[in-house]
Amino acid sequence: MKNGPMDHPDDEVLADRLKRLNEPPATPRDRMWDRIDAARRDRRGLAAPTLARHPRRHSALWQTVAAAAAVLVLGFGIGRLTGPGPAPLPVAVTDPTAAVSPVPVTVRDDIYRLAAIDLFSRADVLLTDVKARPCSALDLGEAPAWAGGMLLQTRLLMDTPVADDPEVRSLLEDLELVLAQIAGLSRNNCSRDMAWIKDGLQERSTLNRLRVLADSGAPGRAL
Amino acid sequence: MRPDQDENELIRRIMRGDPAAERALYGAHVDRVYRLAFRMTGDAALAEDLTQDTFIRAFDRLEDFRSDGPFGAWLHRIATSVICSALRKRKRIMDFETARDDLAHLSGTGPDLDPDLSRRLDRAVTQLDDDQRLVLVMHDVEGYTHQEIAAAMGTPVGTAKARLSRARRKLRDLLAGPLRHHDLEAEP
Repeated sequence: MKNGPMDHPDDEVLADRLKRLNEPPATPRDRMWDRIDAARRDRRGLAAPTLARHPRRHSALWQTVAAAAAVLVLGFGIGRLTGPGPAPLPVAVTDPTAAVSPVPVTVRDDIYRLAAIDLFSRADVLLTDVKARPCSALDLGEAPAWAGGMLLQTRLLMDTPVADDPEVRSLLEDLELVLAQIAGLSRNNCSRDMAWIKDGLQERSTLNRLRVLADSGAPGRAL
Repeated sequence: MRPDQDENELIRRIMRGDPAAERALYGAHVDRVYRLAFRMTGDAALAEDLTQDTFIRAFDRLEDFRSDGPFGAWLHRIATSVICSALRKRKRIMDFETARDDLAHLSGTGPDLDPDLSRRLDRAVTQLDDDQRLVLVMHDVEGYTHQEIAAAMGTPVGTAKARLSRARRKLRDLLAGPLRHHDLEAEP
């Protein structure tokens, strides 16, 4: 790199250090191209829809739905044990060891965070799929049911400390709306509602926000 | 035939629906876009996503490309927009220490670099504004020309140069003192 003079004697040394720091791995050309090509084909309607090209993805997704629901319920239960609430009534405890040990707040928060990351990752897959398909190619039995399950989890998460983060709350609110729209899709309204869904996703950059939050691994990190 | 003429021919073929031309154009530019995304994020998975988003957007908007300029400059304008947008969003949701820990964990260091120096240098670079970091990485690390940087950032060349100069000065200030006098000069 010799595009121009350096401003200071140290600049060249620093530039040399920076080049060796954080050296990029080999470009995963084929993997990225496969995804770009699939996205392009989906948009042009030239190929089977995304989920159809990954048949095993559905069963795996449904397994993670169940797992996430379990995590969320666990997190919710723990939250109820440790979160703020009305002051407990005085109770005479004869055996202190019989009392429930409080779960540390940090553990509770991590569980909520895991549940949020999991929800965002699965919502990403669903929304990407819905966005890429015309109504004629959409499974109107499965997609609304899938959205309904995630809608419940979204609403549960909105009542947890994860939603104290304005960024996360805003995303959960957007997600609630779009999941409710998908959950209500039917053959009669699909074309009209799908246009609203796609416009909403585009305007609110919902997919991009989902990916950034899920990739960061830190929704609600400000807890 | 000049390279830009070759690319213009590829673009015409893409507009006619030729998938092989899409792949060829992708192949010609993907390395630089991916390396830039990785250098800016320190995260291989995120760099892949950003690279993919860049090319998908570019192919979707190919009719907006004007063939009187280089395709690479137009593509990098999309790439820098995608990367900076992702960084802004990530910054809002990650506190500084978390970001540092993640980057340090993911990036690793060169085998011959002192870990403490690497950590301090990495931290200092992260403290630059996104625009300053972008211009520093593009020019001093990845070897882009001032003209390419200016085209990618949509600024005059003079502005890009001034931004680079400010970035270097800020980096020196952030690393002032012990690093310059001991680490840099002591190391081979």
